[in-house]
Amino acid sequence: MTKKVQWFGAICISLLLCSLVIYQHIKASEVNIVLSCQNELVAAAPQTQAIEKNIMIADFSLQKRSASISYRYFSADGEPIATLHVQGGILSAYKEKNIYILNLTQSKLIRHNQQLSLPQHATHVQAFALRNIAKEGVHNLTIQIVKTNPNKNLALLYFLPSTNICACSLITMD
Amino acid sequence: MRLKVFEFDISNSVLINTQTQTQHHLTRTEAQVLEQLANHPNQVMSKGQLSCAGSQQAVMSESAVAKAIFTLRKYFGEPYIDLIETLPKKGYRLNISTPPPEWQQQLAQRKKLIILASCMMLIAAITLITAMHQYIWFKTAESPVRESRVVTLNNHQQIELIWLQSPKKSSQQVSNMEQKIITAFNLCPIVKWRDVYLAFSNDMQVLNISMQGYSSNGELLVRNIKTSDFSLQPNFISPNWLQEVSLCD
Repeated sequence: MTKKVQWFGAICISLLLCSLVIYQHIKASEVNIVLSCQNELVAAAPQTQAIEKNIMIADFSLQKRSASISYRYFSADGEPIATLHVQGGILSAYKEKNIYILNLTQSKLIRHNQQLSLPQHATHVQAFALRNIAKEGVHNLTIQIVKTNPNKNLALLYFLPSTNICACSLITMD
Repeated sequence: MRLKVFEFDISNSVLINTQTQTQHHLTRTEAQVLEQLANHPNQVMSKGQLSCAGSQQAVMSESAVAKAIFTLRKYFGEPYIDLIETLPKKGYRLNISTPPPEWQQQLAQRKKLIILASCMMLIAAITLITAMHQYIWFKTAESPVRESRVVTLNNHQQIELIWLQSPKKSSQQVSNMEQKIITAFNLCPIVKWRDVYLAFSNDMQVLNISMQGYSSNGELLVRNIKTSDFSLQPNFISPNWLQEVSLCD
């Protein structure tokens, strides 16, 4: 065996090992989770303490390595107000601990009814995401599935860094 | 016999410099001394051993040995003067390394290559792990559940209040909020909820309440309430809130 062949073999083995690690990583980060969460948004007006109620449905779609979140806002009567789309990728997925770190890079708010005021939650989430995307180019969001029910159709989500929670219908989870 | 650039013809007692093609006819004593040294390369030979010339008894004097060494060095010339090394009070040594057999050379080369390849693979693995450590290594995930307790309501129903971690909340705030929630549940004739998850947002401006329970026909019920209060001292649950957002349903 000549030296060249031996070197070629050593490089091939190194490349093969590297490819294997990268492939394992890519496969480990691929997820298929679809969640839908209905929330009642209650806000007290600072001066009058009058209660303002809205409905927000958050749809989380984590497919392979891409992540998409749609926050759909409705009035208490069910009138659509706005939809906030946030999209990006999955930075890492730790399936055993049910932790998914999202790198969200795009945010878009679509108003459906200009007559109805935007819920505070929408303003808050959009401002936070836009500020992070403008400043750092990315808005990081960590989702941890704290608990699922025995039928695996309900999941309690814990969000970081906001430390908010939400019980969601678990539509798909592979 | 090959001694570096010299060829020693034992049978004819001739020393040939293969570079210059010069020949030196050795005396019997010189040839015997050189033969002894050449037969024991890199070994220290005493004057006494050399004087025996391989036999049991000395065939020459030690001074004859010293003279032969002197002459041989002269034949080797300046560049190869150290071919015969003097070790004071010990003797002489022929500085000549015998080349290892071909299979040994191949084995040594292969070993070198294996070590080199292993080092390369190790460096590649370390580089890869360094570049991708954030994807490969995860800190041990802690459960975000901070505390939970089972509360018995006035109607003897039991609910579990579970607080999730929020870095800024104080135990006083937790206690006040729990009291308000228990009071609100005590106003209900029947409570459908079994597990009540509570969490403040990191900025302490949102109170999250997620409730899970079952209807009378065993259907799973879920309710999420996110209450925002952007005032300096957020109250979250006011009498007005309790009226508008009933926790009973």
